[in-house]
Amino acid sequence: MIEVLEIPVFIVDPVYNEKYFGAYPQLSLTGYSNCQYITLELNKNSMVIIYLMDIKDSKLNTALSDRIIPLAPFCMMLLDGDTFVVNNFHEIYKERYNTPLVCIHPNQSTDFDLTYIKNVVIHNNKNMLIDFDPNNAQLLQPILAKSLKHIFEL
Amino acid sequence: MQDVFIVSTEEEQFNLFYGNFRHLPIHFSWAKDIDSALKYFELEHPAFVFLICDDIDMLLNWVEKYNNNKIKIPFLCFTGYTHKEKSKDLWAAGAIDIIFLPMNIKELEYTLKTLVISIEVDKSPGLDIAEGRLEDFNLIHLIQTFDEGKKSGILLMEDGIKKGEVEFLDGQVVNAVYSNRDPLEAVTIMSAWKKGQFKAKQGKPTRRKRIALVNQQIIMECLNYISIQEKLIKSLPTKNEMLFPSPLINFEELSPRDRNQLLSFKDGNTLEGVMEMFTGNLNQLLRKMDKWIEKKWLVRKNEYDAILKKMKDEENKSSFKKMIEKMFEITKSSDEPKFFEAKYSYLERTDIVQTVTKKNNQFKNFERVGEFLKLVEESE
Repeated sequence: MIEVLEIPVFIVDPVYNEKYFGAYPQLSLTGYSNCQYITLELNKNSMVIIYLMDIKDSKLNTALSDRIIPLAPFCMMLLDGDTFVVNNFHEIYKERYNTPLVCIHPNQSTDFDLTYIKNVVIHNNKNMLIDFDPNNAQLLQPILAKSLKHIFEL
Repeated sequence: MQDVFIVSTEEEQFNLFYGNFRHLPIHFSWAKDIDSALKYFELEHPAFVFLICDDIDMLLNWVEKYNNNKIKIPFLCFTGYTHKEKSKDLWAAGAIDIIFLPMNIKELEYTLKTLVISIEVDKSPGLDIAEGRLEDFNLIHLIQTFDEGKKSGILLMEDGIKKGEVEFLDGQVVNAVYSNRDPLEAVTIMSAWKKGQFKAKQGKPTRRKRIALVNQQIIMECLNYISIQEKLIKSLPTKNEMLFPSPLINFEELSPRDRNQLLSFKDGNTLEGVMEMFTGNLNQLLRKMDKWIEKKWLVRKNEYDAILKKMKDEENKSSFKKMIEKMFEITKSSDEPKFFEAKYSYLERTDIVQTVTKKNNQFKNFERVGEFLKLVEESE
């Protein structure tokens, strides 16, 4: 039996899928219009599936999200793109879900303003902020390691 | 056990204390002169320093060096009877007592018990280090005080029925507890308390760190909260004016939270009365009150009486007249508040939506998280 861990990542625009996750050959289109995914095989019996969920216009495809988010150990939110859209998305997210949220921030970017994230999002003990190196071809592993450690210690 | 550091050129003096007062809960250490003693103070943190020297000039020189190094440990001076007239300078330099030797052993023991051991009770960790009134020092002052002293401990705050705690580690606010509020929100709410008591207790925080902001940022948040609160209070009726919920409100159609809050005005209540009893985020309530007054859901006494009278008149009218009025809508002026049309503001609506549709996290298998963590770390 294969153990699977499903983690949704909210991304403001699908253009960032390629920018940050393009190095992963497993990145493939699914049947859902707003959701691509990456599979990360850890060994023969364990696999992580990362759903790249588009939050453009701050809309959630609730039919899909309601099936994935409550069952995930945590969700991730990519901090790149329009700060307002990301912050606004968080407002919607926190009203509907209480799954822990890991905010991943590319350390070499960008114009993204972290004020709201630091003052509001991280203020909830369940959530955390991780800076990652976008040039690291294996960028998912360190992010996952930190996130899982955080969730495990909660 | 108290640590006492003896500075004396003669080892015999140290032996005098060590040999005769071994039964007391005092641990004695010794240094030959003030220069070598100063090196040890940083490491040993004694509770008291005994400066023992028969030569008063040398003793004064030691005290001067002691003060120049800004040592905050209380010190006692021991010198000979012949120097009584010069003892004034020692008092002026901050000695907590001056003892003239030789002295009877019993008398010296009594002195040690009263001066050193009795003070130990007041200084033991976990006990109160300060208390006072919030009228004199508000939370912002207290955060600054903890910050300057790099103190660890718990600050207990009380304003009438409202009670909260703020925890500090090395002067930094690390957690706060108040009425199920998030820690940072708890600090900001308590910072606006203008009356009540506080008590500071020394010791390590008992809860884990839950506030990531540094003190300066927290203070900015508090100042912002207070400034918003002051603006809101200014925009509302005076603190002592009685307010009533309009008799036209249909309470059943309000959200539970709003219903409870509006019902606190049921028999008339003042802004001050509500502020005293309200244990949540006061700014949120004040904002709501502002809206309610604007929508005429909360009204002053004269308006309340007028609405009641109108309703009574309405009841007394003949059914025929009512029918005529309804047909021609005589009683409905267009600017009259329509309580049953705009039932919920956006925020109130989300309150209701939240309770109905919030999806709880159902993930429970944390063992699997641990296993995946190991696998991910191995694959890095």
